[in-house]
Parts: sequence; structure tokens; C-alpha cells
Amino acid sequence: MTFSEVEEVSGYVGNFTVKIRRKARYVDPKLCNACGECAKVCPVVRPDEYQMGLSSRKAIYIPFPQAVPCSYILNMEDCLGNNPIACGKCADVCEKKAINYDDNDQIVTRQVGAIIVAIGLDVYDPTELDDYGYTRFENVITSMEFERLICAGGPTGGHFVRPSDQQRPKRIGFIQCVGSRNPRIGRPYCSNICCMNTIKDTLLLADHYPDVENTVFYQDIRAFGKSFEDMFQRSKEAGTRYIRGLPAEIEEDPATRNLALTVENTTTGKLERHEFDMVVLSVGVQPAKDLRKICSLLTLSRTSDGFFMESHPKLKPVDAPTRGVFFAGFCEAPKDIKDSVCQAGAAASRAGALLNAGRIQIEAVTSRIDEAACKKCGQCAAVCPYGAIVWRKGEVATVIEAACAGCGSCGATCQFGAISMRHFTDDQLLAQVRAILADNPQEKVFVFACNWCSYAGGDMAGISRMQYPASNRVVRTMCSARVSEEMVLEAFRCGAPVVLVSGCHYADCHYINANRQTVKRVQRLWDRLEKAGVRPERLQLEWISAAEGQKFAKVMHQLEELRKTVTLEEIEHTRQALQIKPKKAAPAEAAAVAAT
Amino acid sequence: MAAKTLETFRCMMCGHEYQEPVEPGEDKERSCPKCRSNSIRHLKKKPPEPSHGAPGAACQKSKE
Repeated sequence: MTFSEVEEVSGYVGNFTVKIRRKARYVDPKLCNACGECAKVCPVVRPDEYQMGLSSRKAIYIPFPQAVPCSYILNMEDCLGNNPIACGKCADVCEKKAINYDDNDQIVTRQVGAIIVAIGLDVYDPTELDDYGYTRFENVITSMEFERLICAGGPTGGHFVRPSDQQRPKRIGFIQCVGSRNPRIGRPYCSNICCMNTIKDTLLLADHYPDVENTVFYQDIRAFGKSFEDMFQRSKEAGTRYIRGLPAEIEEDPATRNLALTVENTTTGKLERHEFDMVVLSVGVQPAKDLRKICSLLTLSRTSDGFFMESHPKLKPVDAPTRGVFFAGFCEAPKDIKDSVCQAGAAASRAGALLNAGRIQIEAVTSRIDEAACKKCGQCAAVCPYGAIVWRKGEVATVIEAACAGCGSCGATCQFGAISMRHFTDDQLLAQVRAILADNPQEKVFVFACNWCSYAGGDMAGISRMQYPASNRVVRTMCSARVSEEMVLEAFRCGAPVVLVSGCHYADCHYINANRQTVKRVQRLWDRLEKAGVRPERLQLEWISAAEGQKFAKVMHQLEELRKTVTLEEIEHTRQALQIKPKKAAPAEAAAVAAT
Repeated sequence: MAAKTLETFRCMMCGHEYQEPVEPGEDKERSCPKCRSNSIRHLKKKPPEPSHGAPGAACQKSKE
């Protein structure tokens, strides 16, 4: 379904309902035979987005040569207007009568079992890097514009010319890592494809125009794929100069429109000045602009770089945290065509395996709602990272068990005890708290650790034979979001001098973003403890990954030091300050009590 | 782009207090710049008390 956009996704694995907006084309693709007569008479001229604005298109056009279906579309924002019809020339010349000015968007609903997200990428726009003069100098172009200029299907028919004077450039400079590996502009990641793209461009130029001098300015050349190093060597053998160092600034000679740049060659340590007819900025890539929308539609999470977070970086690299959703291509991380094709195949296989099985195994740990206790507030649905709780105003919430991953965020949020997590019920966890702190609680550091990271971090510290105080007592929950305020307060009531809530790092949360609820809860607890006259520092929060055994040991040392500062008097005061006050009895009940 | 505000944070491990620009709705893991602890408490600003001559106070008076 081309020229369409996903508007809404509901449901869960094996049972998704997707609403798709099929945009109005104003040209019937079944009738249009792409003769092009309409475009010939269209008076509107606009920059062609596909050719990076280096040539023009009409208001009625084929978006790009390989478009499917091969049919014209009419861009109503550019058209002179159909209501009233101000032009209508295209409709007059269309023999097939394929043009329909009254066409409308259509909403199409589809039932699907699995979803593969392959929304691609956006290219970095270097206009913010003023030092390279992309907006000031015509002969400074991006690698995407270079692609169009050298392409046989491009605006110049493959005749490579520079924009200022339409002459063939003889000296070309390529600047790598423009918009990549640059924390200053918020893009610390490597875009993966730019080095090989430039090497390919230099080989192409050397092949087509042997007299062209190519110079590449780089930080590091990352040629790590199959035959990539060979390609890099061939580029050097073909005469391309590789200079390690990125220019700080580009200047233009107003007379010749040639470009001069100064660079510190970090291999020789010398300052060099180079002059070029054209400079190509090898721009990086960035997450697609629609990524945030898809993120909220499918309840997905993102890494700090902005790309989609996979379910597990090593063991489930194509699975999304939401079951039944898979990733392919750039939306997950920067990768080249080969890796994208591999991932697409893997995603298709994963989806196929899921659908062919016909049944799925669900987690043993899921939430269960006690309908009688539910106050219909809907707070559980608001905190569920998977959208697995269905709630409508005035109705009891229900759990879709196939979608529930068992983080327990809902159970910790429910103030009415209406939600219990199978195998991690409130009663079970509170019983553990009370049992651990039954004897000599003042000598113990109480730790809530999430199953996937912090608990495994503790294991790592143990198997690595790291030394840390033996005072800690750990209670395991599936996610730190399962730890309710009541559990922490109960630990203090039972005499815990110090309580630690620990979970996965933000980017590693195994339940999309459930640990953000932990942060909110701990913030509330700090306020509450302070209000009750209890030192809030006695409650600590740490993100410890499975590999951070060293951090686990370090935190345990710190908490032991903190524990030593807590006196028995302070513990007793805490017990009294956090004591649950009995609720005031209703007047009738009070009278009855008085009578007895 | 939403405006950033300067917010105050306190490390509950070492007591270090620092300020950092915060964008509304930003999703960021915080750690103490001094000791790297994640026990970072967001100190909320107390709302300013209404004073005489403040727009709110004048409005209250006229209502009375």
C-alpha cells in the first residue's frame, strides 16, 4: 500500500488492528498510463525533492522513476486549485480521464498478526554547520546531492558539473563525519555508511574522470565489512589522497568560486591549506522524523541516539519490546544495505514463525485484576508500558495477558490492592521484607533488585569474587517498577536503616520504559520521608547493569558506610513516624464501639 | 523546540547539589557529576508567596 500512512494501531500480538490513511492521489492509478501529457501542460514548477532540489518537477508528477505504481500523482498543495478549478489543464489533456479533483483520503482498516517496522532514515541537514558554508557557497554540496549529480538518471543526465558554473570540477574534497561522531551537535554516533559511500564515490570518479583529483578528509576510515578494506585500498591506488584531520572552516574565492580549506594533518602534525573546485560534505544519517509517532503508536522505546530499542541487543536484535513487532533496517540503528537486507529477512522469518505457530506462549508473570477491588481510576492503564491494560472511564480495567510482559508497574501503582502479579504478589514481597528484617534489622542494608540487570549485577560481583560488605539482603522483582511505595515504607517500618531500589539503566530497561515509574515513585518517597522527619538519603536509587558487578560492589560499600551512620534511635523514630495510623471510624461505628 | 529551564538537583549519596537545563518531557538518565550515583533528587521550586501589590493580590482585593 503506497502513498499511505499508519494512523492508529490497537490490539496485541497476533491480533493487531491497523488504521491506515490512504492519501488522495487525484489520479486513478488504474487508468493512468504514465504518458506524461499532464505534466507537459502543468504551469506549476517546484523543486524536485527526489533530485535534492537540483532540478524541478510539476504539480502533477511521478515522485521518482521506480515509484510503484508507476502513475502520476497530483500534489494539491502545489496545484493552482481545484475548488474552484483555476487551471484544469491536466484534466483537459488526459485521454484516459484519470484525473479526479474530488478524490479524498481514505481510511483503511486491516487486521494483522505481526508488524514489521522499516521506516528508514533521514539524512542530516548540514545548514546548522555554518563553518562549512553549505548555505553560502554553491560549490559546497552534500553527498546526497553528489549522488544525484553523478547519476545517469540525475538532473544533469550523469554529466558531472559543479553548480556555480556548470563546469566539470577537477579537484574535489570530501569531508567525512559531517553530522556524525559529533557530540557538540548531539550526534555522537557513527552513521556507519558514510566512509564506504565516499570510497565508492572516489572510485566512481576515478573510473569516469581519471583526471579528477580526489582528497578525503577523515577522522577514521571504518572499512570493516566484507571486501571493504579491499575497496579502500583500490581507492588509494586509484590516486585518492586520504588526509587524517577534519577542516575547521571553508572559504570561497569570490572570483573563481573555488574553495579553500585549512586542516591540521594529524598524521604529520602540520597545518595544510588545500584548494578545491568542489567540496562534498559526507553527511551522516539520523532517525526518521516519523520515528516518534511510530514509537507512540506501537509503544516502543528509543536509545539515546534516537533509534528504536530492540528487545535484546544480542539475543533478539530484530524483535521490538512490544511482542509481535519487528524491526528492519535503519530505524533500529545505522547500517548498510547488506545488513538491512539481512535484518529484513530475519524480521520476516520471526514474523512468519510467530504467525505459522498459531499460538504463543505468554509470560508466567502477568498481572491480574480483582474486579471487586478495582476503583475504575485507570491509573494502571496509564503506567502500563505495553498498553496491555484496557480501561474506559467508569469501567473496571482488564488485562490483555498476551500483551502483558509482567513488569508489575501497574501492581505497584494501584493504591487499592486491586492488581496482583502472579508469582510476585504484594503479600509475597511484603512477607520477604518482614522475614528479612525480623532479626537485627539495624545491621542490614535492604535491596530491591530487578531480575534482568541489578540482580544479575549482584551475581556478576559474586562470580567475579569481588569483595563487598555482607550486610545487604536482596529481594528480587522482575522490574524495579514493581517496588511499590508501601514496600519501601514497610522496610523502614521493619527497621531497615537503608533501602536501595535498583534497576536497569534507562537504555536497558527490559520493559520498554517501566523504570521511569521507579524514578517518579522514589522522588515521591523522598518527599514523603522528608515530610515525616526521616532522612531521605536513607532511600537510594541505582541503575546497575548485569555487567556492572564492580558498580554493585561499590554501591554496597557506600550503603554500608551510610548504614553505619543510622542510629538505633533514628530507626525507632522512623518506625513511629511511618506507623500506619488507624482510620477514623464512621460516627455510627464509633458509637457502637463506645457502647461496647 | 521547547524552552529549557534551569533545574536544581541533589545527589542523595554525596549531597552534591547542581543545576542542569531541563527540556519539558525529556527522558534522561541522571547521575551525579561528582560521585556518579543515580540517586538524584529533583528539587522542585517552591511557588513564590503572593505579596502586596502583586497582580494576584490586587485581583483578590477587588473581588472582596
